[in-house]
Amino acid sequence: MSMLAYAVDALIFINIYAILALSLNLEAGTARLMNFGKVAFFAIGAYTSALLSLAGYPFPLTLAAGALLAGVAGLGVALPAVRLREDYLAIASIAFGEIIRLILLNERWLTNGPVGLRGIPQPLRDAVPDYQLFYLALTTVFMVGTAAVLHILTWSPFGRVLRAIREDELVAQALGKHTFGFKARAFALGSGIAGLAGALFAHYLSFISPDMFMPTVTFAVWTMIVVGGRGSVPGAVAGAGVVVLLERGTRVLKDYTSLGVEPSNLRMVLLGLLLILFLLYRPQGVIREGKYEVD
Amino acid sequence: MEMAQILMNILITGSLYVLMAVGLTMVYRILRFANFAHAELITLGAYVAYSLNRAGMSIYLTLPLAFVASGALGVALERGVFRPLRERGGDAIALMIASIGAGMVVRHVLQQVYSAKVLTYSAPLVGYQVLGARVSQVQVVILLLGVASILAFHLLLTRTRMGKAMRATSDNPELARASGIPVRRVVLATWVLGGGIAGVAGVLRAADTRLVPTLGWEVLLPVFAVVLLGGIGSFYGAVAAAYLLAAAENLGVLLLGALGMSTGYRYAISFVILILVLLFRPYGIAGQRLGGERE
Repeated sequence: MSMLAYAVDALIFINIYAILALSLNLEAGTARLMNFGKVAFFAIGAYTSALLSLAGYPFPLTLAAGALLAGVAGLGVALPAVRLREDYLAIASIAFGEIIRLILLNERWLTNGPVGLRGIPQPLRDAVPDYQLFYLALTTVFMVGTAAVLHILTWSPFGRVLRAIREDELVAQALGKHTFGFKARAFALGSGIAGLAGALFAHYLSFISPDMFMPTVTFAVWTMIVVGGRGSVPGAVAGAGVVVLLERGTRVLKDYTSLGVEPSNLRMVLLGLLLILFLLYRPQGVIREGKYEVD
Repeated sequence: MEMAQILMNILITGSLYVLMAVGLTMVYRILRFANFAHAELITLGAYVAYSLNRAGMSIYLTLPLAFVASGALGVALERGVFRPLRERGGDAIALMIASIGAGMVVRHVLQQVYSAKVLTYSAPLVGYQVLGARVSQVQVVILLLGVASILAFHLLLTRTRMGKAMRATSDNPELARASGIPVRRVVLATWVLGGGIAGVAGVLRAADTRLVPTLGWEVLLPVFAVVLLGGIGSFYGAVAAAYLLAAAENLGVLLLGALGMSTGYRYAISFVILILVLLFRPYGIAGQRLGGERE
């Protein structure tokens, strides 16, 4: 891969992970919904869009279906689970993510099992001169669009209620807010956006398999928002940039030096250290959440 | 499979769960956070035993050293990560995320040192017939250590000053400190004991199956299911839950076969139980709701 192609590839991944980080930031940063099953909704979006696309449906439709089904799954999880204590929701959602992965592994008739899906159609593959640049533009549009929508939402009355729930749910209830409904909607919306990211991921790689959807994906996305700053929309994007570049950096290190360290190990060790160091020394992250100004 | 063999398998699985759950449930109760790095306390012991075993030591003689290594890792994590984070005001979720980070660091350092390859100990392959069931030598040791640790813990908690101090601290840390109980020492003793036993359990599980860097991670969610089903902090609850979950898994696999479903779903049994417990009985089978604790 040429230098330029390599850079464009990294940027596409930053866009896709930024969408994922933005969705987790809405749930965990703004509303304090501790979703540790993020990867499940990413996987549902990816598999839905890939399967429909392989069945011949057009890209805009499969993309929308991926996001929609992930959102519906999110609502299905949220309805019983958002009332749980934070740490219980965290554990339950990890378990949900693992169940989804087991379904992807075992329902071969649908998902082709551990082998995964190959030859997922790429939109406008033959119509554009430089496919990577086209996909960079496409994912940039979706990433910026998601960030804009979530920015508006975060500072709208809806986002204000979510932040009130985060600070003190009892107070929000005492002020007459139906907090359950707000939390369920935030979780469903976050899951739908994760599904969108999953669909973009599947069509870019054109190949997906269950081992791409391990809990470590969720932990990487958590690292993005802890580093970026929980509650901050630009922070989530910055965090995605840091984590993806870190991953690329460890691979480059392997190719150009004789360090003798497996890049995947180095990457996970660095992600773990980033999590611990940020929680200890900079819990607000790189970009602190903005303050709500009363005018 | 005959009934005797099924019962024996339940006892073996359950005994391992007891050993793995003790430390997790005590730390969860005393320090009030879900310690995901518990998985790596299990794994570290198993790898330390592997090195000693390669150097010619009998696998049974490595058990005390695995205890020391994993106990020491528990203390190191407490001193290096969790205590500083608590002192900086980190809440239960910050501690949980930090434990995920710490687990990632330890797991991938081990994977770098020992590679991700499947390793096995050199141990005598001796088998016995007990009441019509086949049992290997390692499994006999698992059963004996399971019973011994249940007795030892019972005596520790009821007959010793440290045990009483542990119970007092887990009931109410502030009150314990006010009564002159050295809470810091109790916490460190909890890490040594709980971590050490987890390390021993890691060696036994690796000897019974195989050794991989994800050894502890693979059983972490089932062990969480044991802890929550038993009621956080309840040792006797955890013992009962360990054998209950073992029975559900061993009988569930038979049910999956009878229903014509893939036996790949055997791991999902404990995940589903975990989610159901969190949704409907998060205070466990034996425990009661604590005053002022939200569900």
